[in-house]
Amino acid sequence: MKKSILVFVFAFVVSGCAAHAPGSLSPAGTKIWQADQAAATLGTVQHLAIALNMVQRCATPPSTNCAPVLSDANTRVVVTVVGSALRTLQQVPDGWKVTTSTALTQIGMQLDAAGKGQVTPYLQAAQTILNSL
Amino acid sequence: MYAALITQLFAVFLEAYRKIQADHQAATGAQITDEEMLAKFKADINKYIAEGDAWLAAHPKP
Repeated sequence: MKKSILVFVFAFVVSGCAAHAPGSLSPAGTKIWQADQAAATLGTVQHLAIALNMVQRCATPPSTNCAPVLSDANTRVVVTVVGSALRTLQQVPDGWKVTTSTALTQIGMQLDAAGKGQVTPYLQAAQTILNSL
Repeated sequence: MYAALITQLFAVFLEAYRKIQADHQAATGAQITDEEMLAKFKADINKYIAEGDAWLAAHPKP
């Protein structure tokens, strides 16, 4: 419940922060601007996954077992899918909406149960951002 | 503990997104041209790809 509230607040805040395309851009330039915003959203999801992977969660002493909050396997899913989507965006910026939405869906499907619990709320928030563009 | 962790992660995510947004605002606040926008788009994409590639290089698949 607390997580849902946080994600809702996150989505609300970033949606409100979303800038409008500069008026100096042509329609073609505006599409590039939208693709750039979409790329930034994917880049943020990737950055978050890497940050979660860097944080270690340790068992209660005397145990010395520590593990990343987001496992290497799950982080690899995010980084691989985002990297692939970014390379597609490079080639086909006009398809930013389909490319980014597909990437978010793929990440959600490929994560294991633990990863789903940790990352899915942020994927939903990212989708909300994309919908606001 | 879990709530505190989520709150911390939320702050990290928000901070990262705000930084990216600030970069965008800095670039788009002026009268940016289509050519400049395209150059920024390419640079941004390369930056995100580089971050992912760096992580993959440091964490080879077992």
